[in-house]
Amino acid sequence: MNTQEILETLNKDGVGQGITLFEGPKDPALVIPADRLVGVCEHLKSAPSLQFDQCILVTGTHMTEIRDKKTKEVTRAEGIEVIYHVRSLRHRALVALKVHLSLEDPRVSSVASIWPAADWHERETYDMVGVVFEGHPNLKRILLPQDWEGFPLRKDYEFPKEYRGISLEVDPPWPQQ
Amino acid sequence: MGLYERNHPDVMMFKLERNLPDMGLLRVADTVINWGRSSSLWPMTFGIACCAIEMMAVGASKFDMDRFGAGAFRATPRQADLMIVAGTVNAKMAEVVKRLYDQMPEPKYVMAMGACTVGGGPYWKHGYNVVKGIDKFVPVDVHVPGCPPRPEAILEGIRFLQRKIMARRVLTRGEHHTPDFTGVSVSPGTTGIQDPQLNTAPAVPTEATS
Repeated sequence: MNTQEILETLNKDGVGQGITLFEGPKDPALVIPADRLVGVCEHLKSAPSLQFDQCILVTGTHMTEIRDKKTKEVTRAEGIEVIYHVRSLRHRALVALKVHLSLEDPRVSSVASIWPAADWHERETYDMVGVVFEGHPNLKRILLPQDWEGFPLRKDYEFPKEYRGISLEVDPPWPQQ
Repeated sequence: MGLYERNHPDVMMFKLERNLPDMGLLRVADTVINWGRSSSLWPMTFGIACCAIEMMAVGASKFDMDRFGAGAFRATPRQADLMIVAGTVNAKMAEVVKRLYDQMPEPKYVMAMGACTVGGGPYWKHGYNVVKGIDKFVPVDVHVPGCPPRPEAILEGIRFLQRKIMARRVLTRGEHHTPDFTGVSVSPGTTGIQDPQLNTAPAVPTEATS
């Protein structure tokens, strides 16, 4: 069962509105509208023909803007992409789900109530990229200290000079490029 | 003056120097004390990252850190002399390392083991949360570079630290120090402990009293 067949199954079950197939250079994925994520995930888990019962990974990426080289048109807007990998042990299938969010206010519903394994993954995504998962039971930083400023895996992140009086700078400083 | 201040090394040293002005004897005592300290370096059971695996290898029988008297790993900072910081110290961990160092009794020594603790290591440029060298917040006695260092390098670091301890002065203050203690307070340069009794007895009459 590949991603194309999963999308066909979703369309046949009547939950495939707005879902598009992303055919990347390596792995295909299903791009889901942010407001329909929870419904699609519940169907993915509960439908007997799908049974995606194991959440492998939740992560986020800061996608930079891509312009066409000739026409200078924006082919991909800047934003944040949240990626879910879920596996069906019953049907031996793996599918990737993607949700595109805006950089200014990245918000998406939490799937921790569907797959409990997504709880800490979503906390890490919030910690590193700053995606706010609405409905998450305990959305706070998981790796960095609670009073840390900024989200380190964003492209525009600036390194802190010090943390609680301990210098994080290099002596001698970094060479200017 | 409480029991702690009366038995503080600085105060005891002052009294020793006052009662034993013969510096040759004190130098012999220095050697004996340093020999004792350097031959029983007790490290703390304390590893942060992958360097700790090498530290365990040094403690095990193949390399046997106990040959140099440094094999008695203590599970508490209160009984440890040497803190081997083995692993990447990030901003969240630095406070804990600092607190462990503060909890160790004097005299205490720190070995920065591995590239991360020496200067950031592979996280030198892109480690936003890594402290680039633990000498940013604790004094380091010996740096052992490597990623991780070979066990022989750690043994060499131990031997280096022992040589450093043997060169220290414990009771004698300096090369050309003359034992004239009239009205002199205990030097605050080492620990900052002041002896009020010793301070309030100026032997030299001042203008106000004469």
